[in-house]
Order: sequence, then structure tokens, then C-alpha cells
Amino acid sequence: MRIAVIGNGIVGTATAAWLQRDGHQVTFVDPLGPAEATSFGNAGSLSPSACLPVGMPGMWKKVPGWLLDPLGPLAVRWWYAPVVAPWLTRFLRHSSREEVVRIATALRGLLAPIFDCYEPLLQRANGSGLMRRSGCLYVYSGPEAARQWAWGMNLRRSLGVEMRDVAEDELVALEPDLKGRFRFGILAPENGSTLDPAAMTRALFEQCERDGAQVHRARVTGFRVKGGSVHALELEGDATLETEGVVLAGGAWSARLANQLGPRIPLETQRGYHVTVGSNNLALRHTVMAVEHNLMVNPMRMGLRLAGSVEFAGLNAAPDFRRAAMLLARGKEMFPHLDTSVTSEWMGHRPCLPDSLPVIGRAPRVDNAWFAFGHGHIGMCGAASTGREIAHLVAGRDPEIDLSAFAPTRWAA
Amino acid sequence: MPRRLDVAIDVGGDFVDLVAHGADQPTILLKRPRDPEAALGATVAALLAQAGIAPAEVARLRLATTLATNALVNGTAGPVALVATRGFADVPDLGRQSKRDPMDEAPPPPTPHWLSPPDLRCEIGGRIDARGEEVEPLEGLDAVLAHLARLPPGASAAICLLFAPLNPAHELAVAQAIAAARPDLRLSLSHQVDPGPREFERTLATLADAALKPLAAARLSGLTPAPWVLRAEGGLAPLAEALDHPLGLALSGPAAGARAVAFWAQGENAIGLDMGGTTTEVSLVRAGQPLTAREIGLGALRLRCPALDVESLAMGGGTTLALQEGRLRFGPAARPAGRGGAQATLTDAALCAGWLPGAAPGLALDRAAAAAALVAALGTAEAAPALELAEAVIANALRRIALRRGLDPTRALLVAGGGAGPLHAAAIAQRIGARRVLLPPTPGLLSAFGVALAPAAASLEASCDLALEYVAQLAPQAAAQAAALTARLAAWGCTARPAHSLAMAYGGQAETLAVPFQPGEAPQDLATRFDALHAATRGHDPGGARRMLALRCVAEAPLGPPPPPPSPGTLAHRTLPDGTQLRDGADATLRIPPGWQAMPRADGALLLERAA
Repeated sequence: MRIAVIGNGIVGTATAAWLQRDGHQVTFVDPLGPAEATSFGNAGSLSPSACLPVGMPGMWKKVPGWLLDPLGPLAVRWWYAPVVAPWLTRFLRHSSREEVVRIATALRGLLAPIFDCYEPLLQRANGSGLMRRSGCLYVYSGPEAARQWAWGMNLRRSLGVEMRDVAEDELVALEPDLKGRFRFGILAPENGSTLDPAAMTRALFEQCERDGAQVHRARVTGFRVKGGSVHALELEGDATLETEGVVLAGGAWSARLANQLGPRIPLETQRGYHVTVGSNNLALRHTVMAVEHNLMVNPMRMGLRLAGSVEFAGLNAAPDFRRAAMLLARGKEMFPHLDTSVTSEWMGHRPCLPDSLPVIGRAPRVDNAWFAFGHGHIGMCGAASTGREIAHLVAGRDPEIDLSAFAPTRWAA
Repeated sequence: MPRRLDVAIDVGGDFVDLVAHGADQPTILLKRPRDPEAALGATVAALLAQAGIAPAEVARLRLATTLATNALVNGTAGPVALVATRGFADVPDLGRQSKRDPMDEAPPPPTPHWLSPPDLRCEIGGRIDARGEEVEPLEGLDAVLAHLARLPPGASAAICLLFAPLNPAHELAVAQAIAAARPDLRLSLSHQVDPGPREFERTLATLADAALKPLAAARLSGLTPAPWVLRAEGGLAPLAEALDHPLGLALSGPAAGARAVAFWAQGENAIGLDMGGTTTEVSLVRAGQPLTAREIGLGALRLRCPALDVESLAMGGGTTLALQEGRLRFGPAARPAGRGGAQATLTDAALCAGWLPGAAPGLALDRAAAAAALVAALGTAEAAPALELAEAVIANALRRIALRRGLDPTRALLVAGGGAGPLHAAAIAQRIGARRVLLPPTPGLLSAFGVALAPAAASLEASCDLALEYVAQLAPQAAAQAAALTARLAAWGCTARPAHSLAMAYGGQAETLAVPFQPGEAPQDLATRFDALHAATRGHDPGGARRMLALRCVAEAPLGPPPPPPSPGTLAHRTLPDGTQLRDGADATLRIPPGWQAMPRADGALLLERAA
């Protein structure tokens, strides 16, 4: 089948690679090059453990703080509050204990096979060196602090995530750089990360091209539908592109197109920031999640990346790099000896649904379009397994993962 | 009456060695550089001619060869088609996902790309479960046959289905169908190649076995008489048998060396140092028995295959020397050694240091050219630093290898062989704290002597998963294995001595240890033996539940009378100004540094002891 894949971020690229394994002829359609948007600067974590939703029980208590502290870990710009209010209401509704258990179960299904789904693609692309499986340390100021998050950690364990408590002396032995600030940790040994998310996306993209994928640098504005099937894409500037199938993997920019093929999907963007310390002088071997600081630390090949923070301000507002500076300040708190003479900053758009679950499934109104977007905080993590499942759906095979929780129709009622 | 000779030949990377003996005949020993371009048959024929042995005089030909090792390391075998259970075709790429260095951006792939190209893989429906029972019948054979139809004639295919070692019915059915449709294809079935748990290891071993089949058949047939071939387990098998399971041919030369080291160790704990032109092979002997291993390492490739425990270091006489950013670095071996040229080698350094004689049989040595090469590479003809560094590198590796197996290097006997081993052994022993070094007579022919010593051997393995209490249940299977092997060796004309062992682990452990056992033994005795072995190997015996994960049987039989220990011949003595004594033999030079005393042993070996 000739399939157009809208979006060449990590989800679109991994999906295209899986489709090519079935012999499909893939055409990428994206105004930007591979990994020039959200896939460029994320934290690069590949975490089978990252199955908890953003909205956790008790979160509603913190809402006033989000509006008052523009530099807090989660912030809503005041002028954007009316726009995002209905989305936030839904988001909080999904944060009950029952909902969190349901969501975490579904996400765990998607994330458990991360490495099984990436490795064949990376082996073919000669890029397996960009992925490593060196474990993630969740670190806390002490065991008492860790208890605050114990419910979520135990939920992860109940879903089969291997997590091991690490006392202070072992923590220092594992990561001498953490000495002094952190007295307790939880090690997720199965976790991994990428040395460079952009390079990993590009490696897969370039292999897709070598395997015959075509590339169309244009923005898609709509679909031409006849007899219940999409037969062409409408592009900016009145051009069209004939196709026999479509995968929509446009990340945060997918909503307008998705809404043409089914009921409205409440896609919102949570803007995230990073600081990459090029002058990194630490010798970290694990990725480190500082839970109390809400900060992900990943030793990458271009330096130490500190990533995190959630900001609601839509797709068009300028970045507020004070937030990146805040990340750096927290990083210095964690690692007082970190050399921060060379740094770079970045902001990207996570595509988020209120229930923290991506949309994976066939488009409701046509028979040859599939949705693969809305991966929120776990786009790098979930991209390859999403691609594998989309390839199964396109081929008419049974999916290997229970996809019911990811259905595009879940807001229709 | 013509001579009837038992001829053992070791075809190495740089040299071919020969040991021939017969009743009332003087033993013939020969070492010659190998012509890398010549085919195996021509090499063997030329060596026999040089030794003055007519083809009709060869009563038995024994062979150790680097053929399989080279093919797997250099990727000149394969590619192989793979038939896998539906959903498992990516197993070769998935591997174990453990990188030695997490920041390495170009780690070696778990399966070399040449060995199993993705477009030669296909999947088949049907499932056997973890108890060996069929869950889904085999389905999709036609698609597999259609996929294999495009293979060229004589190509090879590996069949690796889930849980096949527990129930091979599906693998056998697939093999039968393929053999009917394409009788020319060479098949390797995973339950026959490597009947152990874990998909990736079993798949990789089966792929490698299949890759070697066409190559081994083409290169080894045609020799007369048909040779007995040495396998990684350290036993000889008739050619036909070896060609059926060619994976065992990998590391056949190093296994020969380990056999010889065990012979010379005479019941002691020993470390074998077999230093040749390209690599140094380190083998281990506990109480006179060579240690065994479950896998063989070939460069980045680790293949599961029963073998003698031999580790290979990339350091030999041909190892090149270079300065990088002011530091001395070792590079891959280059040939020919000792003849000067752009690249300086360790042999050049030894020649400059005055350790080697001006001439050696079959090896052109030119001291002026060596000095020139050293000056070009290092800016000085001062050879000592390079030699000392090489010895330190080998000593470090030796210490690590011995300690990991629970062998104390300070108390072990260091048995040195190979062309370069006797030159460095005493200095290396000094670095690892060993007090005694044994230099066998004609050390340069260590491996060929090991081939001449090796018995005929075959083995069988069956996987199981049982608590130790139920060991009595394995008795019928053990008896069946022994009967099958006795019959197989009888067909080779040998009388076998079967010996059983159990692969045991504590509950929750993944790695097993081989515990010798005799059917009928009480579980308590086995538990004690396993605990002692665990303590000796891993340094502790936690106790608790013990499990049996495989039942093995090895049958060995002596193949003809053993060769008489070779006579050391006359050695030319030299002494350097610093008191170092050198003794030049036909095949190697022995170096005795100051502080060491040499005493001849009754069997002709030279024992070096360090003064207290």
C-alpha cells in the first residue's frame, strides 16, 4: 500500500519503519525535517517504568499554585487559563485512584516492549549505539520523602516494573555525583535512554529513506475523502498528494486534522523545557529522576540534559526561558560541583490528552487512516511500540497490545 | 614394511605444526610458516612432503584448524536463512541488550549482519509451550517453503522454534518438509545444535552452525585419509561427524593447546599461556583436568557451545606497535613478523632486545630491519618498554581470567607454549606472583602435541528443570545417553568411557556449574559436591534450593597409543649482559630472567623456579 505518514518526529518515523517491514511504500509529509520539533530536545528517557499519568490523586489541591507561580514545575500562563480550563477539568477528573490504575495499566502495556520494538529498527539503521539500557535512579532527599510517592511506585511494581530500593551508601556507590544531596533512591534497572533523541530519530528516518521512503516537505491542510476512504491529502498552496492510506503522527499539531476524520479530540500542548550543559563534568551512568525537583537528568553525548517542567500556553506563544534557567538552578542544587559554563536552552511542545494516554487506532470516519499521536511525556518511550501496533492494524492483524484505552473515539460519548 | 604413522597437524593463523609418531619410529616434529593463500589440502600435503612422510604412510590423520574460527571472525561464512516461530524473527537483533560500555555509540550487533540478513528470515505459526506441550499446531509451512525457494543451491538454513529442546516435533516436521522440497539445503536444527534454554543464545549458535556447514564441507572433504578433527570440547571426531555439527570446529586449535597444558600440568592447578603469532590463548587446568566452558568467545561474538575454557587475547608475536599521542599502543597483528617494514611488531622488539637468535628455521629474521622498523614506529630502537608493556597487559588478563574461575594465580603452575610463550612466560609469572613456570619440550609445537594426545570424544545434552531431590528421575535418561554414545563411539572403532555431569544452580540463579555425577548417587552427596564447586568457583556457597537444568554425558576413548614425550633436542645457550639466559630451540626460544632457576624434569620439560 502507498501510505502517507504525516509527521516525521519519532512516532511518525518509527511507524513508517514498521510499515516498511510489511512492504508498504511510505511517504513522509511534514513541513519540518526529522526531529526538528518535539523529538529534538526531550529528556531522551526510554522507560518501561514511565506508566503513571501526569494527573495523580490529590493533584487538584495544587491548582491555585499553578496560576500563581509562573516558574513552578507546572504553570498556566494567566491569559491562557480560560482557554485551557475545560481541558484541565477533564485532566483532574482522570486523576482519581481508579482512573490512575486504569491508565497506568494501559500505558504499561504500551511501554513494556519498548526495547523489543526499537532494537530491530535500530539494528537495521546501524543506530543501536544511540540506545542504552543502563537503568534509571529515582532519587529523594530521604526515605520519608519517598513515602509521599509510595502509592505510585507500588502501582508500578504491581504492573511488573522492576524497582529496587537503594539506601544511601549504595546510592553513592552507584552514582558518586549524588553524594550529600540525596539519601534514598529507587533503581529501575530495566530502564534505558538515548544518547541523543534527535540523532536516534534521524538515524531511523535516514534508514527509512534508504529503504525507499519518499519525503514531501509541506504542511497538510485537509483530506480528500471518497466512498469512506482518504484518496488524497490537501497540502498548503492548493497542492494535493494521492495516497492509499494515511497515518496521522503530527504530535501537538494533529488536532485540526484529526477532527476532520472523527469526533473532536481534546489535544492540548504541555510545553516542556530543557537545559543541556555542554561543559558537563559529571560521571553519571544512569538517568536520574529527581522526584522532588521534578527534574529528569540524562547524561547525553552532547552534555548533561536537565529536562522537565510543564507550561500551558498553547502552540504559538514565545518560550519563557526563565523556566529553563529555573531547571539549571535546580540542577546546580542537585550537583553543586556541576560545571555550567557552556549551556543551551530549548522549548518543545508535548502533545497531551487529559487522560495522559496517546491516541492509537483507526480514524473513526474513514477506513484507511490511522491515528498515532498524543504521546504526552512519553513520545520517545512509546513511539516504536506504537509503530508496531499501527503496522498490525494497517495489515489487519490482531494487535499485540490491548489498544482499547487508546481509542480515538473515547471522547465521543 | 612401510611405516604406519599417527600424524597430528595443527593449522594455525601463521604456522602449521606437525607431530607424527608410530611404533618403533622416531617422532617427527615440524613447524613451518603457513602460506595464507594455500588451500587446506595443499597445506597438509606440502607439510607431509617437507616432513618426508609419504601419503601411504599416514595411518591416521588428526587435524586442528582455524578454518571455522576465521570464517566466523571475518564473516566469510554464511549468510543463513532463519525459520523462527511467529513473532520471533527479530530475536537475532534483540540479543540481550546489554552493552559492555553504555556510552559506546557503535557497539557490535548481537548477531553479525552477514550471518542473518533480515530478508532471509521467515516465521512459521504453531506453538510449543514451556512444558513441551503443543498449544497450536504447525501452520504456514507453504509460506516458509516459498520463502526458502529463492535460496541458491547448497545454501544453509537454521530452524529455531520456541521450546524445541523440550519437544522437537515442530522443528523436525519443518526440517522434513524442507528436505523434501529442497534436498540440497543444509539444515541446522536448534534442538540438535544447542538444546538449552534462552532463545537468543540457541538461535545464534544454530545460525553459526548452519553458516559453517557448506564451508566446512567444501574445505575439509578431499583430504586422504579422511581426518579426525579436533572440536572445541577437546576431543576428536571423524570428519563426517564433525561436518554434521561444525560449530564444534570453532576454537579447535586452542582446545588442542589446552589438552597439552593439562597433560604437562601432571595433576596440578595450572594456567596455560599459548602465545602464537596473532593471539595468546589462556587455558586453565584444575587438578590436571582442563576447565570446561559453556560458550566460546570469538571477538565480539559469544557462541554457546560446550568447549574447553580458553580465552583469547589479541596479543602475539605479530602484534604491531605504534605511538599515539605519546603513548605506546598495540595494534592488530601484521605479517610477516621479524622482517622489518613499515610496521614494527613485538617480534621485532624481541629481536632488537637480543632475545631471539639471528636465524630460525623457516623464519627469516633480520635484526637491522627490525631495528629500522622500531625506530620508524617508536622513534627509538630501545625495545624494553614495548616488551614490558606487552607482558604487563598479558599478566593483567591472566590474573583476571584465573581469579574469575577461582584459581589462585600465585600458586598455579604457568605452562607456556607457542612460538612466543617461552620467551615471555617467566616475566609474566613474576608479574602475577607465580613462582613456577613449566616449559614443555618443543614448546612451539604445544598445540600439535595436544592434537596428538587428544582422545576421540562425543557428548550429548538434554535440558531439564528439576529440584535436586528428583535426581533419581534422570537415571533412565542418563543410561540412554551413555548407551547412545557407547554405540556411536563403537561405530568409530573405539571403546568409550561415558561420564555424566549435571548443570546445577541454586534456585533463582541463571548460570549453571557442571557437577560430575554417577547415576544412583544420593541428592545429598551431589548437594555437597555442588556447594564445594560453587565455593571454589564463585567464592561462596549460599546453600538453599538447588536445581538441575541439564543432563550431560561425555564419552571419551583413547585413539591409538599416546605419542612419546618429544625430546627437547639440543638447545643453544646464550647469556645477555644483564644475566638473562636464553636457550634457542628449533621452534622457540626460552628466556630465563635473572633470579630464576631452570631444572629439567624427567619427561623432558624444563621447570623454572623463582628464588625465594
